[in-house]
Amino acid sequence: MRRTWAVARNMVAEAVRMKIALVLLIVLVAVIPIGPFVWEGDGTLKGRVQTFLTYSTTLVVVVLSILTVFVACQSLSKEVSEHQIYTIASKPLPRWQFIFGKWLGMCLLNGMLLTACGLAIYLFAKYLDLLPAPWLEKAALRYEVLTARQGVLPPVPDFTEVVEQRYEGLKKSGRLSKEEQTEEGAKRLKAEFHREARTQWRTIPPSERKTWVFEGLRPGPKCDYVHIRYKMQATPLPPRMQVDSVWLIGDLSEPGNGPIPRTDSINQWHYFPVSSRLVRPDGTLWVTFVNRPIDELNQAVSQGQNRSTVAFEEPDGLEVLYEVGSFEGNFVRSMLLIFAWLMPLAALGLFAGSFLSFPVGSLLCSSVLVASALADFVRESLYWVSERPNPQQDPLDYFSWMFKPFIQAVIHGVPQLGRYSPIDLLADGRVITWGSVAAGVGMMVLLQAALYLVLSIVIFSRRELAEVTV
Amino acid sequence: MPVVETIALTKVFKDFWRRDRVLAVSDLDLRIEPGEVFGLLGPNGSGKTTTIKIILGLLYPTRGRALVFGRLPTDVAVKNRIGYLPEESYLYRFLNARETLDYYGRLFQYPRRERQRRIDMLLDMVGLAGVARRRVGEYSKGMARRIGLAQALINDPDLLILDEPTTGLDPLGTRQIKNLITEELRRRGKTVLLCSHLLGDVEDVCDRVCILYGGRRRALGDIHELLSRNELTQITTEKLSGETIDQIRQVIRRLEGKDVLSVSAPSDKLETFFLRIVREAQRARLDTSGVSEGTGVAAFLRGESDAARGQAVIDGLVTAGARGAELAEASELPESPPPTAETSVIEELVETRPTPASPEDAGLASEPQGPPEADRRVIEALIKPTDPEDDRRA
Repeated sequence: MRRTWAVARNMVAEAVRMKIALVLLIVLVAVIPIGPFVWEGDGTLKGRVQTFLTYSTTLVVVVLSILTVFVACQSLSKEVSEHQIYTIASKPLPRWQFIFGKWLGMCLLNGMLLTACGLAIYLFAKYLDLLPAPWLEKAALRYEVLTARQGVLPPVPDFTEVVEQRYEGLKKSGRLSKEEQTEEGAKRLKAEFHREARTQWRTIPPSERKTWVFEGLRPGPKCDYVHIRYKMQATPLPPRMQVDSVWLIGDLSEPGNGPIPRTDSINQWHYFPVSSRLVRPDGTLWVTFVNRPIDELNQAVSQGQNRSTVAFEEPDGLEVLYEVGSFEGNFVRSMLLIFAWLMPLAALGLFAGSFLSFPVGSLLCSSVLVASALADFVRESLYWVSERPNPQQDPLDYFSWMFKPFIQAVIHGVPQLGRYSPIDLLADGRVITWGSVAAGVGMMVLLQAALYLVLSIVIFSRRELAEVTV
Repeated sequence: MPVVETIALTKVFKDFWRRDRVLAVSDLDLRIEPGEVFGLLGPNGSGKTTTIKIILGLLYPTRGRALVFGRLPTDVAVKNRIGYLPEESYLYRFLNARETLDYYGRLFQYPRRERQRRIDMLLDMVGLAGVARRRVGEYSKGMARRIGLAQALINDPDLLILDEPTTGLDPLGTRQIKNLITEELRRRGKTVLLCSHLLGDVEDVCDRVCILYGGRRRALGDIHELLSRNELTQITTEKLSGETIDQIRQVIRRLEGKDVLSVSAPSDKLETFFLRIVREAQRARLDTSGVSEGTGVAAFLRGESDAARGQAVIDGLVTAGARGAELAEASELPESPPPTAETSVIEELVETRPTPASPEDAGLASEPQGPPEADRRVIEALIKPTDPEDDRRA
């Protein structure tokens, strides 16, 4: 381990003294303080801090990702091309320890840079919190951003039986086309029925009401409020693009609890707080949405003039949020996830450097980074690639089918921050659980980083380190 | 068991399409025994460096095999006993000399104190103690070479592989390497594999040599046997008069029926002259940003333990004390003021050279006073890498 540590120290010294890391760190630390004054978001204090958190952490992730793959690749390939490896390989240092030491050094460097950047982001977020602002804006910042909230979605019913019944009904009545009766066609049609059923479950026609029971809420003793978060669509479009509605939360017989009238713009996120005492001891919370305006005179739900059907967006257009931790804890966990993301990138850089020159290795790393950024999009696209190609219908169908397994393998192989990205959660004041950190570390470090490291070690241990000199 | 053994060692470099491109080494059989200083000679591209790289496990043989201490070169344990100075000192430009040696010391897992001890001694030995905090990237080629040598010696190796060790070195460094090999390493039974085309260097230090050409072995044997010219006899005396020389000519003609081919007065070697000038400058403490005078071979390379070094220091102080007492007794002499014991010890410490006495330290007269050919070799070493004359002799 002492040898590995020596290599790691040398790696850090190289990155620091060659001033690559230093320059990037200066750029980051210079840009981060400017951010809050440039990125104003929606103009509110909450929007400004959210935008700052999103942009600054994204910037740190992008810059450190690029730095990591290129420095790791350059460090290893340069040792070979500039022949320092001759003296290293003639010392009692197993090659796996050399690679592992390089990786460890890169992780150390990332740890230092991330700590510096993280500290800068945190301090500036806190500084923004201290800026003078209206009480409501301060409260929004405190309860919706600088916090760690758990989100609970209403449990979606199982629509399988309904969908099967509908499909069988159509089949019996002979209203299915030939294609819809094939396995592939039936699958598509049932998927469509599923979507429709889910949409209907979230849809409230004019003057009607719908109740959802949220389960598993565990607001702590310090949690005074839970937040209802929602985003609506409406058809036909309502006047002024706004919907008048009434919310009934929890047990209405509770003193001080009554209907909550709201007027909300469609296609925008809205929040409102309710007392956490409305959550039942069994952790359930009843939420009823009434698609009518309230009669303000008698405080009763009246027949109204809404003519629009309202639907909450899929999949999280209606959600209950409650505080389960502090912003600080959340911030630390988000940095840990970013740190975990950089680990496979360091291994990727070493993998490229273990058998390629720096320019070619950089090209490979860049391609993987692009693939990584597009992973989610590609994964969704692959869903639509037919499992039984029909070249007569679409000549490209066959190629798509042929390359699907390869692309799937590539997508699984590239480091994926998208799946574990803490950035949106952090800016949205949502809790990043230790479980998600463990899952991210497991996937990105124990699987992907380990895979790249093993490949690097196998290649580097087998290759000749000297070149033709005759 | 030989320290290095190659059996039908062959290396063929292939091109991108896996076609044989260059036959670098072909069926090379070598045995280097413990304690031997072995020279691997050959013109550029003859396969010397390739052979060394196979011995170090940097390249893999196409056929045949190489063994080091009876094991394959890829065996990491073997490398605990090897020191390697490549043909150029490939160092980390961002580290300074001390950090460089510290890094290599860490790879041998020496404890901090031992590492620092060795680093201090090596820096003193290669004359870079004064510039140890400067980045290696700022060093001249010769200075980098010295650090390269120091890293090769940090583990006090049983097998020292030197690839063109004197390239870029000034005569001071060249002489130091030669002394190290001929005096300390040989005495301690270390094995040295020296690869060079500076034939003078090889001739000065090697016991056996192998000459390669086109990757094949062309000659192998004891250097003195290979170089001896039994058809000539050389007599060296103090300066003779012309009359005596004439008489000697006549005696030889009468007794042997042969002519004297040449009579000349040997001149001082340029190497000796150069070393004397540099030493004088060092004694005058003239400023330099380059190397300073080395303190002789590092103690750990002489096989001395800490206890032995401590005893040597005590012995030195006792001797100095005794000398101080003698001086005190001679204080009646009017020319010199009576020295105290302390001052005489200090004088002694200042004047006494630390240790054995490299030939320069012991006095320039100990330099080999060779025939004119030897002088030329030194000049060649200073001016150009090879000389056809030497090639012919080889």
